[in-house]
Amino acid sequence: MLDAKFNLAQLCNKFPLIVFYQGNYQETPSHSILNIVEKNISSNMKKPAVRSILYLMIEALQNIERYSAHTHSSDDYSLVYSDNKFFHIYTQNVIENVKIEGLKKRLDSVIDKSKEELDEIYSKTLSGDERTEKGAGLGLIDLARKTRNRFFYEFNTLDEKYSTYSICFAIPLNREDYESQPNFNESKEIIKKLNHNFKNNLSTLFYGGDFSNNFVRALLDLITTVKKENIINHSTKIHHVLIELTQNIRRHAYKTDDHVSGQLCIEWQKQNLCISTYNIIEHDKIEGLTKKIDSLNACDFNGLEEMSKKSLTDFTEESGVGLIDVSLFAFPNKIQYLLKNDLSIGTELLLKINLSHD
Amino acid sequence: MINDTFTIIAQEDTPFVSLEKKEGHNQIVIKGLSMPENVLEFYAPLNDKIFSFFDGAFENIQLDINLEYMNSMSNKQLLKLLKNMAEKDNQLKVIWRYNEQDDLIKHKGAEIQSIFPHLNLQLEEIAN
Repeated sequence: MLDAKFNLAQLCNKFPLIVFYQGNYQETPSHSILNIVEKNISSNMKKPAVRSILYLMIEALQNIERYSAHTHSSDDYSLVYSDNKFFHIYTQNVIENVKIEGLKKRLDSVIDKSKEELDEIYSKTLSGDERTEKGAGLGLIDLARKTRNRFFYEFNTLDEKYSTYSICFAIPLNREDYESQPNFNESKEIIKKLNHNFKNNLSTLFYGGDFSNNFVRALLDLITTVKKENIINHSTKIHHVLIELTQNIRRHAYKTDDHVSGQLCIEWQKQNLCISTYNIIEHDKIEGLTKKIDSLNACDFNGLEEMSKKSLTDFTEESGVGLIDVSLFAFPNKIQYLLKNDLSIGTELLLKINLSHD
Repeated sequence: MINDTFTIIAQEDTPFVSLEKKEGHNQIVIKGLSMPENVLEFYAPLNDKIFSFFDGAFENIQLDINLEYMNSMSNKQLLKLLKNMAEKDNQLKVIWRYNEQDDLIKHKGAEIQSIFPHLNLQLEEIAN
């Protein structure tokens, strides 16, 4: 199980930002996903590019909210990632088979159009000459305009009543890439990998990107929304565990130019909530860390509480009690870890914690 | 009558703090979220400010703590602050507020009670 997570690790090493959220979009966690992306891109992209990306994300995420049949939440998801040349937005939702034909017509009416033709359709639709049943279809036309028609779509039958509808857009990030074509096959491969790992979850958040407190705040908002949706009570345990684990990544993970290469994965499952983190840490920190985790895993609950108190009142040491707290919250589950691939810059570390539903 | 006040505005990862010096009743409020990456940057100056602000009147202080989330390093710095304050003001009163659904913050308050059994610390539930 832990080993399988390593197969996804290369995604956060390859892309400076990747956010995948699968689950119920009815109560919309969209604003939280937008918030997470905004915190990531606003410091290193020009304002018009940020606005354009966020605008397109709103359209794409609202399409899931509005048009999904909301029957199989594990089939509703969004993936956004940047490869430094393009910003990719991939969404999928469940749709009733009877609606496919109409939607396909609308998509085909814009897919091969030139910029001028799209502008004309946009103006006509805006002035009310052409209307669709839910809104004016302006969102779709605008997505095609703003991405310079770099998108693909597909339908896959689930059963006699429902299918999945996927659409993927790519926004060029640099002027020199305005004429290049994105690698949509890569997007499909990523989705295939993510689906393979997470298809049985109630909800999933898979994230690689900035791990500063800006991100943590946006993450806490998302968790609160998802908790309400899934009606799973974890008190605030999950929030505290996430604060400790994300700050551990920020503090201890290998960095280049202040960019932390790390990954966070939260899986809402029927029996558990599973949190895993991945990052590279320096070789000389491995022994101390694994010894600490082994000693925590060997403790009973009282032993962990004693250890927490001892560490909290040792004012000569500035370090916190992060991993002790995580062990206490997860008890009787243990902190699982796996080390792999001894790289020149450090060792890959995967941590996994299961929190039982209260 | 309030004689003097000092306020620290809450930031994305640090709490709101207010210090009030009144006749016969001094109050400190720490409220919100505490998870700075570098806790000492926040708590070391706060500790100094509290001692300089109440200098000469370091007595009958009520410390009102109402935290939504905190990281473990903030927890430790808060304990250090409580210890330093209790050593100077043996009448120090601490109110530890927690949301009615938040067992974890309640537990953190109870943990402080067991670490400092002589500290006058009250746990108070806040309705949702």
